[in-house]
Amino acid sequence: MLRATFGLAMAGCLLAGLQGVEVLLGAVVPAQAVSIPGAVAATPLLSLGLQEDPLSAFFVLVLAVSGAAISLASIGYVDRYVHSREAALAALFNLFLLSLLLVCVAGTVFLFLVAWEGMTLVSYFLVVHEDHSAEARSAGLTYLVISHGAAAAVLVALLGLSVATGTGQLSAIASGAGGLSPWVRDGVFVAALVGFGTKAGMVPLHVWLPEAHPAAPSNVSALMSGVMIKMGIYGLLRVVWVLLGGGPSWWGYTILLFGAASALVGVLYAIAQHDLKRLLAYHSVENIGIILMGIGASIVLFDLGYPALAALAMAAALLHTWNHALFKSLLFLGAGAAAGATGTRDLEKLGGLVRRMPGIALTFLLGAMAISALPPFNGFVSEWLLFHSLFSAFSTGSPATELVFAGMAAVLALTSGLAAYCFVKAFGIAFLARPRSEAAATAQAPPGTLTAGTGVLAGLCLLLGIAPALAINLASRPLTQMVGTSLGPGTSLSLISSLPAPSTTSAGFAPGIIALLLGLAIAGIWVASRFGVAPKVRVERSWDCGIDAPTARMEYTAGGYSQAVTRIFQEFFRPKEDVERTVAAGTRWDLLTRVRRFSEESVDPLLPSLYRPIRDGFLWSAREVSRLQSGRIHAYLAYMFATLVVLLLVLRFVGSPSP
Amino acid sequence: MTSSLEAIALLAVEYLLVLGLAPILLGIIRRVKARSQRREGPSLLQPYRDLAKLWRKESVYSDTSSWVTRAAPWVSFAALLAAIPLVPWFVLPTPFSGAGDLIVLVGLLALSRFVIALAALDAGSTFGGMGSSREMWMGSLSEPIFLLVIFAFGAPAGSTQAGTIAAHGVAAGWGYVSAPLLLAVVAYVGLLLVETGRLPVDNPSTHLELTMVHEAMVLEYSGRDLALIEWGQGVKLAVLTGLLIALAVPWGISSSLGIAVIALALALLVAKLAGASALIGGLESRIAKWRLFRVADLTTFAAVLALGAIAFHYLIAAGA
Repeated sequence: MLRATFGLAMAGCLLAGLQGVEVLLGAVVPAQAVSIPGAVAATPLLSLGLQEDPLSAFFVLVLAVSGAAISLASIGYVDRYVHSREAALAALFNLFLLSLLLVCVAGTVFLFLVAWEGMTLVSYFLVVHEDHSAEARSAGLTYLVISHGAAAAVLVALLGLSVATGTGQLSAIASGAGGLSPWVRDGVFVAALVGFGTKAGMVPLHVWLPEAHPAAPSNVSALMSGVMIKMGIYGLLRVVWVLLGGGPSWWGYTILLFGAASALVGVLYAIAQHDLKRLLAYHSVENIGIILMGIGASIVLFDLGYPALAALAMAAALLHTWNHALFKSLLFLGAGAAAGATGTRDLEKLGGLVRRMPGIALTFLLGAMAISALPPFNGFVSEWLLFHSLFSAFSTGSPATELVFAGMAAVLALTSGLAAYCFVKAFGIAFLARPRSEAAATAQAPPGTLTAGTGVLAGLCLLLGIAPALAINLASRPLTQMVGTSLGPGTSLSLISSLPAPSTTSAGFAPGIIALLLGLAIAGIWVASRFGVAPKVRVERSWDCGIDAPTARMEYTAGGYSQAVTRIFQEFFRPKEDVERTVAAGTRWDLLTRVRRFSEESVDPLLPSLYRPIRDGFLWSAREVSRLQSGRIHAYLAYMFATLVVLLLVLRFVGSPSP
Repeated sequence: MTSSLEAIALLAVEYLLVLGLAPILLGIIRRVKARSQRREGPSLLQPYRDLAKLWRKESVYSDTSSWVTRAAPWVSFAALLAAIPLVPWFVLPTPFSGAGDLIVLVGLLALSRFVIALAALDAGSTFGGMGSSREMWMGSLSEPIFLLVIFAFGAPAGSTQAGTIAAHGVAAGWGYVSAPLLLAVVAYVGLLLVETGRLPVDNPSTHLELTMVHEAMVLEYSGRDLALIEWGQGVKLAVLTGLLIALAVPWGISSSLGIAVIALALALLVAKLAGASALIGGLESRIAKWRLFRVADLTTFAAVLALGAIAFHYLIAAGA
């Protein structure tokens, strides 16, 4: 039964992906707003219709590839590790995929909003699937409330555009939005950034993300982190680039700064996490930040009059969107296997899993290297493109832009360095050395389809790292749709072709040649190691300074590992340390203090400082409003009458709607 | 333009040169340090003897370790080997210069560090974890400086390709020397000390538990794996020093393929590398090891210098 449901999901994803590739390669003319028969309402604002233009098709492809691999992995995952209401989970999973697809191909404002809301609601039910845990219930509530705040902003942005241009068709809005006043455009931009930024997990609107993603079953986490948050990126690109056709520099700088903040805050909090899935969730915040940096840079460069450089930055953003969808899905599936087999997500209780689940360990390691932006994996390629678009600001002749971009490049480099730090910790503590608990020592090998799903994704991470021209070719039509130009020649489908560089710089990067050099070097070492008499190989205990039996308690812990970073950024983390001390009898020396218990906790400071006032404000206003609720029926009738009178007066004096 | 056959021949010379010279650079540094301490010091060739000895010795692996421990030295060394063609050594244009720019070089160094840091956790000993955490921490602090330094060197030449920057320097002659360049060079030297684990950041000759960083990471390695790691340290030093030479004092790199010119360029390169190693050794003799968290001060200082270099460059460019 599960096999059939998820198999169907996989088949659906593959079909959608094929259709997307056809549109991206220009094999079919993208249908402009095919209306759904019988569902076209009388008013243009309420019409339903589908369209798949190149931008839609790119996100359909992102969804389809990760969706297919996650569906494959879900067969084994749900069968083995989910113990309640598997059928409901499977049905909701498919519904979730459908709502994601609808968001991508919605051709009218109304359908987009319906699909958007459906996506939020279905994913809410998936987040609270394990509703016996209070954590999941509370995470679900946080998610639901913040998502609806964001949905309100999305509503304002899209309905605002729709009313201002007098049409509900997205394609018609795009042609009518050119004549809007700057105030309307700025208003729409701010609303879109808040609404879509929240869904994407942009700092400081990200607080729902590290709560909701870990609480869901891991295949759902993979879909949420890998694909759903990309819908925020899709919405932002749709509104800013396709509907409004780009904007002034300050839009770009705003997105760039929020992106940089997201990247840095995301990775720093990821380092402080000991819960494997929370750690991955914070890395989603980080990667969304990187994508946003690309989008922001492209808006700035376009506004300065450099469409070719804007295309480079946008290519970095699009590629990173796809890359992140691949490796984050992979990492969440791997974390799901580890957590499912051991019953814990706590890094301090894992360890040694490389021997219990070698396939998952290998694919998780490849995913970790990809997300840490190491060559020859796909994450490095998109970050290289982004570094390059930031560097290319030197040719704009605007010192402010050049300095800001150089600073952004430093932030990006710090982020990727810290990501590598974090993933050495995550993989090393969870998968290497001795198991830190009984559960980790006796973990069962995960089901084959789960390993196969991660294997497919790991293979794609490597493929797009060695031959990124494949992805760049597919992104070429969306790029043309948005910034009016693509990356130009050099994007042929050759395996070792160089990445294109704008004509103003002469830098090049041939990922295929780098991969070839790496391969040749390893082969060379192998040949060298054949020469001479091969020395003996012995297996002994690890060096433990002479203590006879090293145990798992002597291993470095996740907390100890991340201490170097949490310490230099302690102003930022404000960790709560809890040390219980016992001083040795008859002495006051600190040296002889025995630390009995040490616990450290780092809470997201944005949660209390930003959201508590909002929550308190709501509660206060609710209390005040409740004074109106007298419970007497004539009072309510009076309210209604008063409202009616006020609305009529508003209509009379503010202006009557034109017929 | 060089033909592909010539390019392959030049590449082979580069590999022979860097792989062959890497140990002696370590030897020079040790010798200079020994002499400044009024010791005779080991022979310059001692690192070669050490490598040959390790190559013949048996390998001992921890019983808790996995394939990660076995694969890491190979991948780490391979990443350093892949970085060699990205540096302009003695001829311009660099053979295979399209393979990658300095950002790719940063990526390859990160790959080399990443796998060894993972292997350090594999044996489950406290030393490994401590070294791994410290090394990755320093690496994450040095990466932004590397990028800023690349921007600082690259902005005047309009490229992140080391060969193009060096060619720009050779063409500009004395005009290449400027305040931004000097700032960038100082920032790069700070970066070099962090990346190669020299004093005051890390002491490569210590085996004291609390102070070692790199040595703690590779404590479990022996035999051929250790030989690869130590040789790799030499190659990394050679690559980063060679890059400093190409970016800061590029004069002398040959622009044509005549035998005499190439021979002269090679001789100059060897002299520059030896001189740079002696300078590192001299610098090391004069600084004590800093406590670990002061490394963040060093990296912040270098970052400010590099940003200053970029700002100066743009201000000068805007004023001109």
